[in-house]
Amino acid sequence: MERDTTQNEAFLSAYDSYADAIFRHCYFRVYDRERARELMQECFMKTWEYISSGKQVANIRAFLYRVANNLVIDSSRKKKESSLDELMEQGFDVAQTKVTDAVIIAEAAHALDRIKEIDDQYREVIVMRYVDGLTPKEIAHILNETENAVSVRIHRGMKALRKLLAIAPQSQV
Amino acid sequence: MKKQLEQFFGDATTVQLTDDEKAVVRSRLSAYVQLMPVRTAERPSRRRGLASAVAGRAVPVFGIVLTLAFSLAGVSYAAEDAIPGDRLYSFKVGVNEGVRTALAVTPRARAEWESTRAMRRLQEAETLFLDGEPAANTTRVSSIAGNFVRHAAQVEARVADFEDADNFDAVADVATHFETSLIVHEQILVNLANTIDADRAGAAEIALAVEQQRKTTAERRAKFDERVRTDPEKVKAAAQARMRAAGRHIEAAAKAAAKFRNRAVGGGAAQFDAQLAVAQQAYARGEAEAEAGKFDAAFLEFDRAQRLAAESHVLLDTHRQFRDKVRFTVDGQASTDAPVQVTPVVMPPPDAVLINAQNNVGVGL
Repeated sequence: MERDTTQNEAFLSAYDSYADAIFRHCYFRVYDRERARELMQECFMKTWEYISSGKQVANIRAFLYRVANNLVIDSSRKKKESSLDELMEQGFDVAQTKVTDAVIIAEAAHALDRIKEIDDQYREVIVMRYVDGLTPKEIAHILNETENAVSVRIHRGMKALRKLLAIAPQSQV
Repeated sequence: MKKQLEQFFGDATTVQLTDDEKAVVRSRLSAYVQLMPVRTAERPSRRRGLASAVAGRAVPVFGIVLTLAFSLAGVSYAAEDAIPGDRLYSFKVGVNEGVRTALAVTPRARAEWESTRAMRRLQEAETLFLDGEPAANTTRVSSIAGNFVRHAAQVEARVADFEDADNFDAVADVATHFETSLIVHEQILVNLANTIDADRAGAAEIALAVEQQRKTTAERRAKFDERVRTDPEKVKAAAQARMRAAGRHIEAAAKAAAKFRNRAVGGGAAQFDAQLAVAQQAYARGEAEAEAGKFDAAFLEFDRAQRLAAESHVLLDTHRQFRDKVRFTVDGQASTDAPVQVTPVVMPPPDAVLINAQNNVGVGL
């Protein structure tokens, strides 16, 4: 029972530490605040299910990101199955999520709009690297890729972002 | 330049949860953690799928497992099949459903969960009539009817909010599934009232409550659809939402039909396949209408596709639930415009069949 309490507390402590980051990560992928909150909650629930089944989690932060990433991918996959993309190309516009959330301050709205324009494969790693503060090594572990592949994607993503922001690449960030 | 990018990413980090949002989710997770303790060698194993049940997803019933230690997870599992009058029923409603209620964070999740709760009451009523003891049913039936009406009112209130906010996706998902479920369960209960000698009055009472709710739901839906269809801006967005919902329902119904096909005897699966085919044809017509800019027509086709697929899915779920006790009769042949009418029919017990041999119930599947 004492061990249970310790594990419960450790898990909820992880929630206190990482809830915002996981929510932010989901938000920058799905651009829907409600959906991002649902995904964040589901991420923690699935993580607890894993822990409660008796399995060990060496790095809870990386584990949470991996679960969140998989949930976001599943969520995007379900949305694409209704052939919306094809109809969009033919002029049947899909309603876009407007960046009008009262909680998001004006400056963040600008950042959101820019990041949204980047291809998801780059956005994913840029958000993890520069918004969530993960190292390329941690990102590689989460995405199950090599560190080199992640670094290349970050570099290409930053190049695309700089182009959008019309900033000359005078120095590495 | 570096400073500009730092500023840029700094702005992005301002996206975060409010204190209230964070606290609410934390309290849900805290309850969830209590309900699902860490498994050890000393603690009996949980039934697979318990977490899914608590999270609000459908879980197949493999049987009731009771442990001597009565761990919280084991009791939760056992309680899921309880009906009014069972010892674990209060646990099912108070604890299991309490946790699931707490975990429904968004208005849409809450509406879906209330719809599920309403249907759980109807399934309990159906189980009661099929398996229960008629003499004890009177108070149980009234209790179930009252709770069903309460949950249904919650659903109606939330759908009304979605309609006021022109939240077409939520309306398409929640309201249509709710209405379709009511139609199927009403048919089952009417059949029960007509077929089962014992406790006809109880079944008729619940059937009437469902019928009244179905009519209220249908009236509300018709008014909303009329409002939307007469507004050129809204009908386009509504058609898009119906298209998405129809696609999801067709996929879900196709998966359920595939599972049914593996179990079905005598080729009954063909009727559901035919209904799904008609749904897919309606969907295709909807796409064509949308492409031509005729969004009102597209809305109607996608709506039709969604209803047909949703009805198939609910019927197949019902069959899974009451496998040997509810069969389906099929009227007509499938055609492009008219799907088969697949109606759930309660199988009377064997002695009733001998007595009423000329009734010809349960023909088909």
